[in-house]
Amino acid sequence: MTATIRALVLHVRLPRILTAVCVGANLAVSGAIFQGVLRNPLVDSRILGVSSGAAFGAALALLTTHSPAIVQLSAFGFGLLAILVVYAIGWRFGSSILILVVTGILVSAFYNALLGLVKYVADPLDTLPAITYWLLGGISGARWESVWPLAIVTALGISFFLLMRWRVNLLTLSETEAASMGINVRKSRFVVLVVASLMVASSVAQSGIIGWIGLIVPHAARAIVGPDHARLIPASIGIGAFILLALDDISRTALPSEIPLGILAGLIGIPVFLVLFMGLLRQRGGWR
Amino acid sequence: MSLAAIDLCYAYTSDRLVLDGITLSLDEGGVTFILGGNGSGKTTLLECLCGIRSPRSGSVRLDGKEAHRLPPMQRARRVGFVPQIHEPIFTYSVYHVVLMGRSPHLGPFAKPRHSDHEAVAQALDALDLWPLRNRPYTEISGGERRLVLVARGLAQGVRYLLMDEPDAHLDPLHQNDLFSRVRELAIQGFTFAISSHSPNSALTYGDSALLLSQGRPIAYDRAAVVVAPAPLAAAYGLEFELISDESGPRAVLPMRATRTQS
Repeated sequence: MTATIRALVLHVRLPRILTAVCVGANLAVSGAIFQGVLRNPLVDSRILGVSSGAAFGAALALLTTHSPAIVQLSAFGFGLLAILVVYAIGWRFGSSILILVVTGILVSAFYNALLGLVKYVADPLDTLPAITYWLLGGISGARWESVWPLAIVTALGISFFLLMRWRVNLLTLSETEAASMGINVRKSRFVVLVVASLMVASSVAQSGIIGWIGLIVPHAARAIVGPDHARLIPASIGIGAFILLALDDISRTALPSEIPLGILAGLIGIPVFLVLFMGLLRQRGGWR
Repeated sequence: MSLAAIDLCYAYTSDRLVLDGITLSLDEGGVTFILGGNGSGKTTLLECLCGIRSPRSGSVRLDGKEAHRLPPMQRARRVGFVPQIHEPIFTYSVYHVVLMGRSPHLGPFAKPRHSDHEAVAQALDALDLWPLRNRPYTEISGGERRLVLVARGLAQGVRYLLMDEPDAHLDPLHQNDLFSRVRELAIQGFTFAISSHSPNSALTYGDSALLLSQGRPIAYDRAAVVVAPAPLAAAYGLEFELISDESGPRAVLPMRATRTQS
């Protein structure tokens, strides 16, 4: 093995592989958590405004800088701010699921308006393309120095949910019922949603918007292993990591120049899922 | 062992008491029915007895201590609740639904151990539900679901089981199946409080009964005393006729009344 190949594998490919695995696992497991805890099959990791917040944060940073570290930090910070705002508002009104989801959608819409404003004022020759390209999603810029925050959040988040995986089942029951079994749903739900949001924010900060993984992977995992979160959570992590890694390999090699991962994920991933999983979903989707 | 409400009052909003001066003591191994019209406070009373709502005044005492002040896990190992509408959104298997009853014995990061699975198997066995264990809970019949939730209570290890209108939407045969199980468990020392819209269920299967009207107790006594025309008329605003035979009172029948404009 020549020194060049060695350097390439160690310093370019490996961090990229690690990033793909982390982003895929994060989006999938947070999607499974959001769907379960918010008791809604239509939601994904974007529902509480975290992705929109991160997108706005990144765009805002790109207005003034090209430093990936600052862009990431800003994306992560505004993503985190979204969930805190959702909870600050939600808590005042009892933090029921309905309140959280409605607040999340509104916060998300507000961030989208802010993002539009940033795009509107961005320099159309230089900054606007950078923002647009960032939003398309991709991990080609992954380097060791930018991967480690994502890797740490992922490792902690995944450990947390693997440990919590049995308890998550109880958070999918009605509040009265869970309370009668000694569980304070509102508190537990808060902790679980904040951890899942951290995972989403750190992923979006690294990879931009990769849309549907957090929606479809949990459904596919449920069709394979059933609705029990003790098995669903590990399955979502595995499937999400594998799929994003495979998609990134294709995005890297399919054409002479790279196809943005967010686009490729939609173009290839969705037809594949429609063909492979729709039948399985109808038979045993795990939802009532 | 005791679970009792003493002069219990509860309100959701500041201007209206939903429960007003309820005193009630669940005798060990007894079956107490809670009767009353729609909105009379039956469910709220059960939730207060369960310790998940804190009284506005008065108290609910579980073994002498205020129920809503007990650590939730400790409380949940003694008192179980069977909600009226239990529609999990996921198609959990019967086994998993019963296994969730073990949660008061497990920390947030724990997963069920061998002993937990044994408790589930015993609970399913006790109610002859073992053959259903792998069926999705959402696909079994209404009567079977009520029994599964009773099994969940057994797995939970409780001595008191509070059931919210378990006979709703059940045909007479399945009501009889369910309440016969309840009677069998009562003989083994389990204590039940059951809310119901059917005074005759209280008469047939209950030891004592509490009759509520707009959150106030109308009568609280042996079921055969409470389920009688006078208290029922006071609670429901409808005349009842008592049907008796040599064994005692058997049923009450509402008298047909023309709706009067009031």
